[in-house]
Amino acid sequence: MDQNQNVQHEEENEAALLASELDISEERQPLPDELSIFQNAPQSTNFKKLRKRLIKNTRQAIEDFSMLNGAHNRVLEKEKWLIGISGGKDSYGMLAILLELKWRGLLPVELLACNLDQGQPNFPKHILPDYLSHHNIPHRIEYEDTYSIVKEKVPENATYCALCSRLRRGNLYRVAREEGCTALILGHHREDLLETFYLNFFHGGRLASMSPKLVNDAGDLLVMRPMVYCAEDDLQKFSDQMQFPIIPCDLCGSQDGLQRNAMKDMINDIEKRMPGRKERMIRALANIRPSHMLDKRLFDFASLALETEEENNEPF
Amino acid sequence: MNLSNDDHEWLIALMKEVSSEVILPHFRSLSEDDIKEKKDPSDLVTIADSKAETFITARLMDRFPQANIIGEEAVSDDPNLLKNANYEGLNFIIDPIDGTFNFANGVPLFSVILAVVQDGKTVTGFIYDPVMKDLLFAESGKGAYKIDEKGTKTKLKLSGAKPFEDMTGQISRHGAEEDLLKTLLVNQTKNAGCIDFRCGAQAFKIMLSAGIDYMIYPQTSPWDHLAGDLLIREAGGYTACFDGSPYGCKNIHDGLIIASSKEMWNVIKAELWA
Repeated sequence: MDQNQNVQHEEENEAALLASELDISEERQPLPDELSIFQNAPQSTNFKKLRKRLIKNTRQAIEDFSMLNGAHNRVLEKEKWLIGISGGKDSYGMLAILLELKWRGLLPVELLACNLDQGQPNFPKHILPDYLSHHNIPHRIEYEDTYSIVKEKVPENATYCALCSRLRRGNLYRVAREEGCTALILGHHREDLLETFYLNFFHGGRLASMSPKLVNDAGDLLVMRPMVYCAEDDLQKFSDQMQFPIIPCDLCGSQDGLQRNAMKDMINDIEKRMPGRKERMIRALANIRPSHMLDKRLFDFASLALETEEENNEPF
Repeated sequence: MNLSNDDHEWLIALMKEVSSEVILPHFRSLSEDDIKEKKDPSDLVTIADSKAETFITARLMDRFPQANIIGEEAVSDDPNLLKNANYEGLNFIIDPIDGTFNFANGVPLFSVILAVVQDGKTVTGFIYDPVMKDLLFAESGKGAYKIDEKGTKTKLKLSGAKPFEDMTGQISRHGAEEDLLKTLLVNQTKNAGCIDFRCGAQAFKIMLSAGIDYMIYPQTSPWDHLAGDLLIREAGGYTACFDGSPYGCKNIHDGLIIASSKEMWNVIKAELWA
């Protein structure tokens, strides 16, 4: 579908959405199958504003980081994205937003939701497949007991995160390849990026956040994060109001002394003292001045010099 | 070298680009000097044909430097290109504008045809309509499909079995021996009728939407017929030369009968050659 058709399709869908928003009758109109996940969403103005804000932020990230990468031009077979679903608020929110974008004709890709059941005890196996099946969302539930590996290999006084996430990622890559996907989509949000930035800043000796888009080491998959501009509390409110069936993960959260939690508390404290800092900080990550940093690989300080008298006297 | 899905997407993008950038700008904008006759007043070539083939050839050579490229206009300038073609390795067979007579006369019935031949076998066929912006596509062993302007993909289908008197078809006069042509045309009066769009690609298109039941070509050319032949076979149809032998890239004067099934082929052969 070319750009003109996208605009037309979007305008038609915007008109349909506006019509549904103006409908103040108590009787809820059935939504198209593709938007089944929104069937029981609140109809309040605040929720609609929240939904629009999340849509806008996600679209912006997809555009800023060229996440569609020519997908519009594919004719024979759409690209396929594997959507990593943990059962947490962020990935549910991401799934709903991407489904809406797809319905609006703004996301010309096939979406396959994927949950990796990592074998945590008491993991409620039926919740995700039931929810995804109920809403006709194509999905794959994969079981791989990485929990036992993490519990066995990680010493008592160490955190599980590094090994757990590596094992999870490796399995998601495998599933993506098996399903013919070009990309793995993860639901990390604004606060995740800021926490990672500060973790790297304080403990990693580098200025780096999370990549919005990267190619994996094997070179055969993209990893993309379309929610990088979305605020965590927006996603929390969205999840509460959409009543996603949240599956808590008790592996990470049970550990004390996680540095990430300390970063979260610090950032929240800054936001409380000076509202709006989180938004400023995420914009700052997109506004780097290499000449005012100390990484000589990013700026050619060596070539900076005053012009000599000879150079001044040379004719044009 | 086998083409990948990405290569197929690239070829489709190329056909779309040559249509929008080279072909359509000349449609209904040709001067007298832009149109030339080849063999006779109905056999035309326009500036758009030449430019489009040059454009496609250059892009193909850039991406597939090892491939052989056979285009209608290049062969028109040098017939030895076709005579000496052995179709080994990877080959692209191009008709930059099929239906030049229509194009030159401002009639919107023309197409871009591209066939991919690998070691003598047609493996992929594309027919792209620049006006309607739809694509017919077939890959050997994987079926035949139409993808319309909105990207909707549908499986192509042919007409079902029917008595000869209910059939509609096309008989091309190009290269036909006079006696044979008379026989075919007279016998065709026994059935429901004929069409002639002056564009083989558009005839293939209507046959692949079950609109007509057969096509007869006394003389064939690889750029006109290889892609359509693959599309028909992948849609479940049957094609063969006049003597019943398989049609391939080296057949020029052996004729081609295209039908919805082998049974229909036999009926058509029997009735039209009677």
